[in-house]
Amino acid sequence: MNVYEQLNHPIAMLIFILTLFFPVIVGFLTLHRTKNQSDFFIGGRTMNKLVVALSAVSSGRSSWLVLGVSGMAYKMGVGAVWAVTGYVLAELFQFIYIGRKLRTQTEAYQSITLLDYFESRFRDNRHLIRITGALIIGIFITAYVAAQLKAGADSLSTATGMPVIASLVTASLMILIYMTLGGFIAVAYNDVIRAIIMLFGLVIFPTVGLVRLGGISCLLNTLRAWNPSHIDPLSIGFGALIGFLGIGLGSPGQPHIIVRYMSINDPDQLRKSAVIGTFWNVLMGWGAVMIGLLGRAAIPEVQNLPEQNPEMIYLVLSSQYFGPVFYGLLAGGIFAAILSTADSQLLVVASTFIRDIYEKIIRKNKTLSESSKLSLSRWIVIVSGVIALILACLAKDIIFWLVLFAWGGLGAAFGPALILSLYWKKTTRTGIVSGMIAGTLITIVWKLFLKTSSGIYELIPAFIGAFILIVLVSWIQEKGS
Amino acid sequence: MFQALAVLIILPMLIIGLSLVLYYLSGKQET
Repeated sequence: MNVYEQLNHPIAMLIFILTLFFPVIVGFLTLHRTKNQSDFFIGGRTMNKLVVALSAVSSGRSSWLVLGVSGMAYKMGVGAVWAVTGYVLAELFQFIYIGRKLRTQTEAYQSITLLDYFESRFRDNRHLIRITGALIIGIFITAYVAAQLKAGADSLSTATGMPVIASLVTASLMILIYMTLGGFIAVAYNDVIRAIIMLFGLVIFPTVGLVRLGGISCLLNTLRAWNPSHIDPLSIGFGALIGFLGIGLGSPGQPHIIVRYMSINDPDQLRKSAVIGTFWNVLMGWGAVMIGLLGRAAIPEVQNLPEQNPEMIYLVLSSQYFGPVFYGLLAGGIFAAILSTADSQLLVVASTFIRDIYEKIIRKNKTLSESSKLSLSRWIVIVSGVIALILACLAKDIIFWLVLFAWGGLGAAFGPALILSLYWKKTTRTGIVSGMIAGTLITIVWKLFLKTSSGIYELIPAFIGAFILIVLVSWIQEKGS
Repeated sequence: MFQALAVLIILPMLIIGLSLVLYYLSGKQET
């Protein structure tokens, strides 16, 4: 069964293709606003509260939300709510308590990347933080981008019947065109459009489903009759509940989310972005859970789903509920989710290569003109994109292995470091470097050797471990001096 | 049933409410 079968309808395919290619037009429209490197990587700190809010929530959510969470709710029931609660709460606090402070300080230091900020904040002339951070970003985020491109290409190939390689090249080319033209500004405006498409899919869809079924009470009664534990939010167990909430600990360490806060025109506006972003996050997250629950009520046996995969429930229900126009839009919503994450992460990789490694380390004694910086940044986006594309084609096993650690590894490496750098004056450079390394290593070791026996999500011990180590090393250094 | 309704309906409303409270409190802090 091909869940994209309905795309055979010409109108559905037209809408679907429009959702895919519209971002390129945005790239052309934003070209004139990208005049220097700061514009290219952080929108010249001119983005408004709405763009920042929607860009932060949509680039933070990949297909994990649309397909993953709905599949999780199908499989586990109401308990899947905890998987969205953790990151929604974390990002609410981030907007207000991390975003505002970071935005103010990055402007004072004239930083355009997260590592720029760390280096200035700790007067790290030996570039230890920059090198450590660049390595972590280079490995995890490049793998992330490649995996997103591969996931997008696989779905595009299933949807259109194109070979996977052709789909991969099409998806990558499309991203690269608008990114090269408009940089961060194009990415951010495309994120806004995609946030709207995602919200449409994740709100209208369950609303229609609930109306058809006769309301939420009918839904819960149907699920209870099938399996009472499916509507018990605590049936997943305490360990899983804490692990789900712990997903949120990863948010403050994702450079592609953090950089959104640095791009706002007025730090105080982040308070409003927090309300808008939280509203959007809540609607999208709970919408995804409702889709999974509706799916279980409509198709109780997982054997009846394509490939017996719960993550197919979004597409299966869309084809049952909607005609070609809405179906095209809903199927496009999946690509919107995948590409909005991939482009934001690709921009972070490019900024790390050009700004953190080339300009600040390799060519640190030479001054580059603004126009050469901008032109180099554009080239490096293309080069990074091609590298990610090649990795997605040739090294997919390694990529998917690395991606398993990416959310946790980045979250533990940068989250505690960022929070302490903003809120604890005694934090030292050595403390930050130790925390970054420890956070990454604990994530990997815990996931490989201790997760199964302990049942604890690796990010929780890694985040706590990195946090404690930064405090300890900084404290010892301070006492020593 | 009540627990399910609480996490599906009341919890998201509480989180949106919390965002408004934090918006208000963070504004007061500034002044």
